[in-house]
Amino acid sequence: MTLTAMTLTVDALNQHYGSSHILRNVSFAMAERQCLAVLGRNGAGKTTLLRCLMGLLPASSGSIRYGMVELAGLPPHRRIRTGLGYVPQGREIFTNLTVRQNVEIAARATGAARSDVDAAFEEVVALFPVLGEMRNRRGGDLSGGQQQQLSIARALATRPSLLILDEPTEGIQPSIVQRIEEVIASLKQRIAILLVEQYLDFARSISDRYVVLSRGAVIESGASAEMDHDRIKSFVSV
Amino acid sequence: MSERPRHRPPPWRQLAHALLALAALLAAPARADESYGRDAVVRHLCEAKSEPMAQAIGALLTAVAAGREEAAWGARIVAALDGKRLLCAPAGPRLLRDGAVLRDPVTGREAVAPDRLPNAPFVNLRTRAWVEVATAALALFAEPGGAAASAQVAVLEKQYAIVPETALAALVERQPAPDLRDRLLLVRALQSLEAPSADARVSAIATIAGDPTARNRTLLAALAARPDYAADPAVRAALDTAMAHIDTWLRVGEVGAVLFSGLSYASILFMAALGLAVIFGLMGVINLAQGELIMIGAYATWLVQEALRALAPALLDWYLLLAVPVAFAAAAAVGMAMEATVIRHLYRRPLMTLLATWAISLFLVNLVQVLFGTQNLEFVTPAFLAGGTRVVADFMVTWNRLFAIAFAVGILALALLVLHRTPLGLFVRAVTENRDMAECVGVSTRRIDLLSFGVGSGLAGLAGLALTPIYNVNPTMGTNFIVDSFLVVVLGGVGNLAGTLIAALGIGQINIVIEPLYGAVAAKVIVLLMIILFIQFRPEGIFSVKGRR
Repeated sequence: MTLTAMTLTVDALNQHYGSSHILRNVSFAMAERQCLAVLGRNGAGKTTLLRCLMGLLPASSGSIRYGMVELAGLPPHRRIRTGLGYVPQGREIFTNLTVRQNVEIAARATGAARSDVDAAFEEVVALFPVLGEMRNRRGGDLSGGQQQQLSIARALATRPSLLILDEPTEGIQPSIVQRIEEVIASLKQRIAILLVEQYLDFARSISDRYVVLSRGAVIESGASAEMDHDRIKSFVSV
Repeated sequence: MSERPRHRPPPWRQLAHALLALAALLAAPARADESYGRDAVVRHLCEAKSEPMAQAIGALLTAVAAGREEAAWGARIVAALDGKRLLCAPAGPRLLRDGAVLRDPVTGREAVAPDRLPNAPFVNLRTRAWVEVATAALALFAEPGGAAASAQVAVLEKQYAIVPETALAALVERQPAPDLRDRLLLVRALQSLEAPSADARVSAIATIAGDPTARNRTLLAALAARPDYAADPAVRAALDTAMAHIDTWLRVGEVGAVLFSGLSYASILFMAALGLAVIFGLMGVINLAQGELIMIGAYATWLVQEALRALAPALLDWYLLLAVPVAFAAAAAVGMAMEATVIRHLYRRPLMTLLATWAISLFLVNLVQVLFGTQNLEFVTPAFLAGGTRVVADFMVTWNRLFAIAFAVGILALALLVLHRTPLGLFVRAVTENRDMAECVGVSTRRIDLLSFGVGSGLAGLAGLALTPIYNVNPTMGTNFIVDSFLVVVLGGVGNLAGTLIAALGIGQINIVIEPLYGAVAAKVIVLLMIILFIQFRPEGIFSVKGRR
């Protein structure tokens, strides 16, 4: 497989919810191990875009290619197996399962053997030590910040080559935000990251490229290093 | 015949005989069995009249009890009488047919067959009771701790009025097993009820009160109604105490019986509802055909029974256990076919699934009616499920109901094991909680749906197996269970084993408790009203899922 094999290419993606047009001809591409920030106001269609990428929402038209695979039409679990990992908005961990089981299910579902589950769990504990201390607690008993860490750990346990994060720092106390940012930064260079983020500074510092969505359409994109902070801020803030 | 003086006993000998006879007469009070002899027994039996026959058997038993007769000889004669192998008339030859040979019943020596064999003395209803008592008692004398000892004691219990007193006393003395000994003591107490002395009566009444059954209650009530019997204040008081005591225990027994029967119904409900709860919790599909899956399990069990009857009759007794995988597989296969062909295409359309599964339910009922007919199926009760054991008063724990309960406990354990200790269980719990996110960590929810539908249907099939020894099995049986199963699921909360268990216990018990009071239909109505009220206040069921979302 060539270096360009694991690129994500979204081409003319449209999505309708009832009669409202949510995504309008969204197109962008990201290379292997690249970090892409998706910016935009509330209601711009960022979460819808991610849910379309994951297959949780059906796209009306357009194509999503990851590597050699056309993802459009595949159920989410097949997309996970091609290498996507997903950290949804609002964390959505399994509250009835223990911390360890939340990680275990992700490892098991993507084909890890019983013996690999322990290794997978120890790996995420190395990133988020608090999960090791809480391993036998129910997911529902964790604080919001801990749940967010668990959500990221669970996505990593599926061994993604492209991690999709939907506002991973939203509504979380600053000390944990910092930890999460460190982990995401440490993942950069190893896997591709598609990040929806409200903190513009963090998004700019970590991403290689950025895309700005407004009313479901891409209105701006480019390299993060060349990002005009004030101009982008006017797109993003209310 | 010429006179032969030298054969005549000398006068001193005659005198000695007379003295001995006198001494014997003085030594023992004159009693009926004083003149006991095998010859007399056989002669009386051959008279073929109730009174002498009963007396002969009584004398025989008394003699055996006193050690003057061998139990074996008595058993042989009584068995011969019972089997019409004692051939004799009030006069003429007396013979005992022993296979092809004829013997003298007294000596056991072979006898020559006469030209015309005499008839066997007829054993009428009254004599039959004596024969039964004698057979049981003689067997107990021969072997007090034999394998059939309990059944033999039961015969004496039933015919307590005619068991000779001395024989009974000897049997009590020789009985090694304490429980059988207690039962024999009770038989003796029943006899002593009519004892002339008030003390004996009081102690007999107390002994009988120790065995609180409806039969003994009726017996004491009958005595209490006899003015002559209850004249003595001590006896009167003893009767009242005894009846009050028995009444208390009878009530305890009744409560136990109702609880037990409720528990067995709850077990069936639990098994039926478990599959339903898993499917409903996982997919939100209301499977109205779940009752028919129960029916399919029961029919699969019947087919296994018939197959064994035809192919391996020796294993027939074990058909229930051999049918376990078959009933599970049959119901699971039908359930998975349902899921793959119909229900899969109707997810997130609850009304459509409701109608579709109802249609499937009607289809299955009619299919089975066409294939097997509408009549109830007949099931052999395996030997290990026949009967039961008496716990207290008239409360019987019957093995077939106990089987259903034990089976349900086994299923519960298995379900817990699968749900909490296997990857499948992990996936099922995750999909139940958050279908989208389960997909997004790589779980193929379609596969989990299919498997769970199969397992849930298979559980219904096992419920069908477990109820075959208790309930009627026919094509429409499923409808009887589906409503109650749904109530269990709604009441217990979705996707929750503990809730399902407690709701099944509650609904099963309430049903069985109300039924005898107001009738089966009223019981259903009352239970429904109670659940409607309950759901008003706790729409999420007994247990709800807690925690941050």
